[in-house]
Amino acid sequence: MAKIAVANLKAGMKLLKPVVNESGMVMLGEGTVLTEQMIAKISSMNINAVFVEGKEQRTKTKQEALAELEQRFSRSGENEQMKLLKKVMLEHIEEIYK
Amino acid sequence: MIDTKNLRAQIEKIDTLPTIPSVLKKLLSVMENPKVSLNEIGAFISNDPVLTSRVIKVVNSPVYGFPGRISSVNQALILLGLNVVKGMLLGVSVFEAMKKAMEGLWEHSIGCAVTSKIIAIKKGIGDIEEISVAGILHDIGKVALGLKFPDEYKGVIKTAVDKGLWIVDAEKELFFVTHADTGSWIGKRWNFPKSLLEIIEYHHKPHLSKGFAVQTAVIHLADILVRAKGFGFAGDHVIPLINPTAWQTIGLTAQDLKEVIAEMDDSLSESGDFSLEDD
Repeated sequence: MAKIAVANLKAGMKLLKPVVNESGMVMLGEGTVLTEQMIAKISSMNINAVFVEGKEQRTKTKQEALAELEQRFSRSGENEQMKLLKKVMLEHIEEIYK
Repeated sequence: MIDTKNLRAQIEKIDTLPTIPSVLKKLLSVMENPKVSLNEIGAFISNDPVLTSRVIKVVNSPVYGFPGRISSVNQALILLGLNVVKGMLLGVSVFEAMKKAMEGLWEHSIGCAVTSKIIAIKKGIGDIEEISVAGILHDIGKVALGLKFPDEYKGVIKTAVDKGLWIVDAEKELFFVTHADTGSWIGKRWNFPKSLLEIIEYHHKPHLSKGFAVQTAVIHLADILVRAKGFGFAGDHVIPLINPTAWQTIGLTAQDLKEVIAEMDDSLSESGDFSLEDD
């Protein structure tokens, strides 16, 4: 799943979540393959980003993500729950950057 | 150095600050009446178009999980109930103040609301909406400190970041109290529901919560998980420790924790740019 700014949408992308208008009405359903007309319609709505199929654009490298994680856990010491959380977070990062 | 009595008096008068939006002031006067009814609250919201649109926005957001299904204030009130609506109104009214007080705190708070909901659902804990509201408001004490003492509090955050301290320790160095204390002061002053008060006061010491130990433990853990993910900013770059009592109270297994973390990804990216800025 990728969240994409409306300005970067291209025809052929497939919606993973419905696009709803301000009063919550579904304008384009899940699974819709976008056309140029639909993109123009979405652009005219008050929406910043939509969810489409594909890989998320990463803002950091795996190394950066790991370094930040180390810093966040730098005061965790021998706390058992923190060790478990760190382990789960490490696995999670491995999973995301696979 | 500021003495605690004086500090408390100043924090309690925070609603007189020009940075506090008028809608919050009006809301506080409505909430002063402990017997206020759902109808009165409904009328209050409906009389204010900005508040109305924000309430609709919030109830349709990932925080409440009725995406695109609620279109009127009355519907929201009936679904959510009085206590939740009270808390939610406080949440949407402190939005500007929160943005002003600390960059990233709104994201942290929304993240905490979403995460606490995921944990509560996973463990079959009731009062999900009440817990979500507490997620938004648990750090209201930081808002109070940041608005009342902007320069001092910026210094506190800088100390925490530069020295790698927990924000509570950096707060104690200067103020001798923490945001949990200042939050509970204004919460009492503003007649917050009891559950919310306890969560605010004890979210860093969840083992001390008496009446609402489970809810407090959920917010305590959600706060830590949101920081572990690096979502938003809560004033420091080191994560507070999970309290073993709170951990036992919630009773998550390693597998549960894994699933919660994975679910947070979707919910947090949906809430990533969830904002109440008026269009």
